[in-house]
Amino acid sequence: MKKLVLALSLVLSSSFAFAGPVVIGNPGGADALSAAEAKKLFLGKLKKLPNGASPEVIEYEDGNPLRAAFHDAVTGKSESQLQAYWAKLVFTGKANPPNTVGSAAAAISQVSSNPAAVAYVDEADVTGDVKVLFKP
Amino acid sequence: MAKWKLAALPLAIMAATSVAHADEASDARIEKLEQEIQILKDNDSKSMSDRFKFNGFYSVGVTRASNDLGYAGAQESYDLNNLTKVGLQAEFAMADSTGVTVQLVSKGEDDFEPAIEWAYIKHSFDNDVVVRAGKLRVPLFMYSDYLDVGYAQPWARPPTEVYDFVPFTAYVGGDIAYDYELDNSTLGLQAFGGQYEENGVKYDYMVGANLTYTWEDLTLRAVYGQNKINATIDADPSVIGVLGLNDNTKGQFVGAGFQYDNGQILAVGEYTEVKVDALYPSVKNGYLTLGYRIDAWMPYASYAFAESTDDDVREGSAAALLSGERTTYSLGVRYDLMSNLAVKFDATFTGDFDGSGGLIDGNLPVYPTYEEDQTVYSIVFQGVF
Repeated sequence: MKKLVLALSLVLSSSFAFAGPVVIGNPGGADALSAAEAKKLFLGKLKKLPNGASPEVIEYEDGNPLRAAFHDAVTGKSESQLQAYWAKLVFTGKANPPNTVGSAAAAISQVSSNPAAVAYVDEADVTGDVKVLFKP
Repeated sequence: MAKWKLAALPLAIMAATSVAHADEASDARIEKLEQEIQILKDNDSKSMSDRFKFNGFYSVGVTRASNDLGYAGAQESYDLNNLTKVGLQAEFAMADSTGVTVQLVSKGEDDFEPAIEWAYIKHSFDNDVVVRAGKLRVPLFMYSDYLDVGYAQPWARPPTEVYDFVPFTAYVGGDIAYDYELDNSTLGLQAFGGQYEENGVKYDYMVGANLTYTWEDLTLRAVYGQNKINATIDADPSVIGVLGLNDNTKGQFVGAGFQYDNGQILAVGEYTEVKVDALYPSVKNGYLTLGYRIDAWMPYASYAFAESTDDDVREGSAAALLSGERTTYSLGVRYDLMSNLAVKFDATFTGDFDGSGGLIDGNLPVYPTYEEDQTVYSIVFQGVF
């Protein structure tokens, strides 16, 4: 029964609630980001958030469908272009790709506990613990 | 009996659901606690595991050519060494803004003898000025920094017309870099200085700077560098031209490049001039590459040329060996097999030597082995991890 309810709710949420990715931040952190800032942020080029803090970017692992949807909308890079982009920075010692989490819930709890953390989640998953900084 | 059963069913369902609700609530709490523990664990382990980073890249390829001319090292027979290489990089962060990076590369063309390509300490100041000291890559070309990382390049190999005329790729010294973040663009400045010694030739007083402007999908780049060249007693005397490099011979380099990449269309081009005040050839060279992405495929076409510009300083055998020109055309396709592995198929034709040796080692017009052109076929797998 419980499993059935869970399975049903998963099916429902994944089929109906995919609203598109939004960038989220800590309620006590930076305010809205522009499209250019959001793009720079997730390509490791934005050194300071609008409130002056150094951002801690949270990403999803390679192969996560939200990651593909987000980068398609915000950075315009496909998964292999992203890999090539980070390879250029990694093998020249310039930068490392952001740390990754496995789920939107993990991203939200990290963002809600760290004022410098920035992540993206599906708009439907946004909770009161975080605020939306940019909607593509 | 049957009636009782029917009446009991809704009751049983209600009971089951309420238990399930209670279960769900505590499950949700446990899940949340587990998540928090995981985050705490992550934060804790971050201190150590985050200080070390290991990455690598590899390239495994085969070449075959129409003859034994040796353009890009290719011969008529199959060759597996030419494009094959492995690189490993370790980074250690001593502090948030200070770290050490070492990159070890083992190349088939060097019999897989591992060599340290990069070894440096880097510090980022609070104002985002970055300084590095150690063994670094000479940042003359657009792809200099990731010369060995084929996965990050569009081609099977960087165009030899441009990338092979500076005989050294590394230096020991330091650099300073700063990126001006403009509203929608970035202006990067990098200045470097140091020295290097390779194959018995010393390159001293190496200094230079480059400017990179990135706006949306367009990157523009300009670079200047110079050095003083001296052949030491260890230099291979059979390399004619090296012999003249003994009196602080001045070497100069200027280059300009652009890249446009909107995710679908790729256009890259570079033009460079190398000037050496000696018998050793001064050259001008360039390339233009166009690519078009269709899903995981990217067909590309390239045009490249190189020619010596100081033919008047050489005569006789020196002229035959060191003066020359060539034009090269490549057609290829890149296919992304996985998000971190690509395969490239490439056919490259080089010719138009105009009676010269085409600036290819040992290809003298008077030799019976002289070739007027060559077509090189390559298949290479390139990945990062």
